[in-house]
Amino acid sequence: MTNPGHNPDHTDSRETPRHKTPLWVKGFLIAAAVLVVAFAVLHLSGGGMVMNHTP
Amino acid sequence: MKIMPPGVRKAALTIHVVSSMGWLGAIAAFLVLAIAGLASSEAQLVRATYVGMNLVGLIIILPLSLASLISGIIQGLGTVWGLFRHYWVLIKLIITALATALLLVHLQPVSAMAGMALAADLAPSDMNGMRVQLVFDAGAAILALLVTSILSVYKPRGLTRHGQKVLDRQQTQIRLVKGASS
Repeated sequence: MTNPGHNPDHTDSRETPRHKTPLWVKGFLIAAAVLVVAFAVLHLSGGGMVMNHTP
Repeated sequence: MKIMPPGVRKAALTIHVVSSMGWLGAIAAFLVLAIAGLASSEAQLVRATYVGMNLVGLIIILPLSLASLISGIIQGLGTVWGLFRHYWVLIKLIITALATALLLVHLQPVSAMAGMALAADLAPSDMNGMRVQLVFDAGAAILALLVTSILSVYKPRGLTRHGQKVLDRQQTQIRLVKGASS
């Protein structure tokens, strides 16, 4: 019987790597946090609509 | 939820793409009107822009945003992608849900601006803060919808913790079936 060898696509439960957050998700979260903070600052300053939704 | 048959899946996907792209296009029109309303000093044009924004918001943007959110949830639940298995799907869901919620909140000042524009001529300095804010909101909405569009096209790799668990469970079942058959 021939040895099937190691299948790179096969992930045995003992070999399953610990869950890691992809790099793009981390970058995305940082960019989103910066944008949300910037938008919140703009919203709160300069006569935005906070406390002023109904003119 | 059961995986949808191909015909139903394609119909649901068509509704999702059309509603999402329609939403993006309508927001672009909304942004142009918001800029015209802010920059123009002609009372008639200002009145027309805010009345137009109110109509576009209520009759086009609101239904399309709800259709995009609902059809997206159906797409996620009815296909192998799932709703919480892949980061790109989860991020799209969060952005769409937040954008829809913020839209519901921000339609109120648009209606108020339309009411004021109809009641009296608005001078360039009247309600300037709110007029600037409407431009910012429309710009932010376009950015958010562009991000969701890019995520849909590129589908970047990455399973969530839940997605990894589902995959592990499926692989265990496949191994058990293979083991039983051999």
